[in-house]
Amino acid sequence: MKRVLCLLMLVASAACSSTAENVVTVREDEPTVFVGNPGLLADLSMTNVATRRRSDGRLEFRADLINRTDDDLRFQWRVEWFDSQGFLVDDPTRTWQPQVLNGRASFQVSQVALMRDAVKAKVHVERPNEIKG
Amino acid sequence: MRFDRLFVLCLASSVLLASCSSPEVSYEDPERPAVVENRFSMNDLTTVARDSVQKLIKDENTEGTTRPMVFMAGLKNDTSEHIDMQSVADAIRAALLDSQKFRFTAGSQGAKEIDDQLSYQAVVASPESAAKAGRAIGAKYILYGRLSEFAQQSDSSKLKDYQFVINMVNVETREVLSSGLTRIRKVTTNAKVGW
Repeated sequence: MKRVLCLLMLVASAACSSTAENVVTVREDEPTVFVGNPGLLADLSMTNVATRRRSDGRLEFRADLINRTDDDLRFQWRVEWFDSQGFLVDDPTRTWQPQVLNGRASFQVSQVALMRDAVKAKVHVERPNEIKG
Repeated sequence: MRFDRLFVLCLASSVLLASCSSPEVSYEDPERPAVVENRFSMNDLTTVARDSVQKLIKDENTEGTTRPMVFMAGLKNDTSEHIDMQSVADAIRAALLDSQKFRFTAGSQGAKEIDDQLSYQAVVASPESAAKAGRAIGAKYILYGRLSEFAQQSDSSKLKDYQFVINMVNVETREVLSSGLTRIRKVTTNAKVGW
């Protein structure tokens, strides 16, 4: 009985600790890096990741997020931009963006860097963690 | 005796409850979404600013000119809420300045301070160092926008849709060069079991 309770507590704590992020790093000259929470990775896949340099010199990236489940999937995403030396580029409009995807639906994340010296985009995806009343 | 014990017990419980119910304050990530109530939030402000800025830097209608001067004409609040639209304008302007695609001329918020400073320098500063009036750079474009809301309510839920539109217009030709639209939907569902 004690072993069952311990096991249930471990499973519960593992489920509750799913605030770790999926992070995709997109860089012009490097392959994408996918680091993530297995729980969210199982539900949400990121494909068709691509970048391009626009005519005005700004880096643009896009990625398709696909809900692998049959149910609505809630998550939030945020993009960070970095320059060639790895410094975070300031963006006053950076914020977590809540998103809902219907079962088996897809959604394209795309963004243009504010500054021309951005060479890398890091896309963070995590389960919702809104501040509630 | 029994009454004394009961009184002490009640007093101790009151003190315990009072200490347990004292508010706690902690710092939070300002980029984290907050859904404390069904009103326009800081996260919504930043979302609106981000979408507007993305549209304006992607649009190529203003290409061919070197960092044109823009005047932020004002954002109108057509919702039933008190929303600080100046904060939305500030966020958009800060991001567009960072992008170095546009320049901005001071709006009404800085105009009085500039006039005061010019008057002051004309009297106090040396002629060679004093800032000269009449040298402002005219704006080529103006930015203006509007936030509106659509609300629906039933016994069990309340739905609020916000729509924000921002336009960039050529001052000379009055041509609308860029128009961005952002929509946000928030739903409040009443608890099925409660007091």
